[in-house]
Amino acid sequence: MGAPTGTVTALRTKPWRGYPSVNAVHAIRAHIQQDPTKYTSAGLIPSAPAGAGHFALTPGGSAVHIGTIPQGAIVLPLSHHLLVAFAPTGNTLNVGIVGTMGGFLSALALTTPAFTGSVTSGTLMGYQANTIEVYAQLAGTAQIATAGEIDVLIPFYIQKD
Amino acid sequence: MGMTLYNAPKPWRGFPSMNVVHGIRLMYRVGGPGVALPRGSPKGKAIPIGTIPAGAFVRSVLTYVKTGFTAGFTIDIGGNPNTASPPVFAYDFGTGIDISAAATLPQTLTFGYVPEDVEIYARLNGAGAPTVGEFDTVIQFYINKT
Repeated sequence: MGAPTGTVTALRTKPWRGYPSVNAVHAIRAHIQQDPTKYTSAGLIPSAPAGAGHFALTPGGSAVHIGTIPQGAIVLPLSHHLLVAFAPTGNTLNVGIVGTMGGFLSALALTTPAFTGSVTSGTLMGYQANTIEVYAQLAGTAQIATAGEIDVLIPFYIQKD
Repeated sequence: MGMTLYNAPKPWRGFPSMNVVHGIRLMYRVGGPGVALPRGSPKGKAIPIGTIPAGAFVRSVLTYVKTGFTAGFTIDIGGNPNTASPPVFAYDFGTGIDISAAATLPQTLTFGYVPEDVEIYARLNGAGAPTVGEFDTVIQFYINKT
């Protein structure tokens, strides 16, 4: 039995949730929000409140599990949108797997808000020989950021028969 | 089935439990199938083509012109227009996109996250009735999940 509907469990694992029979681009996404008061709930209709699902990261702290990509998938160019610069400065963002924490995004600067699409620089991009669990981590030694917001989307296409 | 209503609202239609990239597609064919975009000059009437739910991440907006229109024709695509005449979009997915020649047009997206429901509109701008022209626009987005 999972958490009740609408409850966000901070550090839960997130298995792959997809539809193998659908010819669609699957994806996992992380919305990192250091200011939990920024968005207030407007209700669940027609969609989840804007702040639902957001989570904060601790500098140099635990990596947060953001999703799972199944074996055989091919990871497509990813996108990120820094909405609010992180403050205090000095931290960067890693997105990857245990052992290669910067495999998708490595030491991404969090200082200048911008949308960036079609990022292919990660060493883990492309074919995945194994199922991988993807994490986000705030690297650096700066104080805990009380401001900062970034959205990361990692699309992938699963292997089909 | 298959009939296009000019100003019919188009709510978001998706599967919240699915880890997939959703999309909205605008297909326009002069004298053919697809969305009926009434031409206007300097700006055409904005027609709703879909809705992106609050909290979504817009990944890309791609326009492919298969057959060029008469020179001078452009399209605007955006979200949440205001009451000005012509309306100004709060979310600009592309203004004055040149559709006069066959091309895969470069993306002009400048944002990803949208903190509110965004109703997407398109308008066809140009003088005189186009006699040829075909284009498609696909907007990809990933919805907010808990």
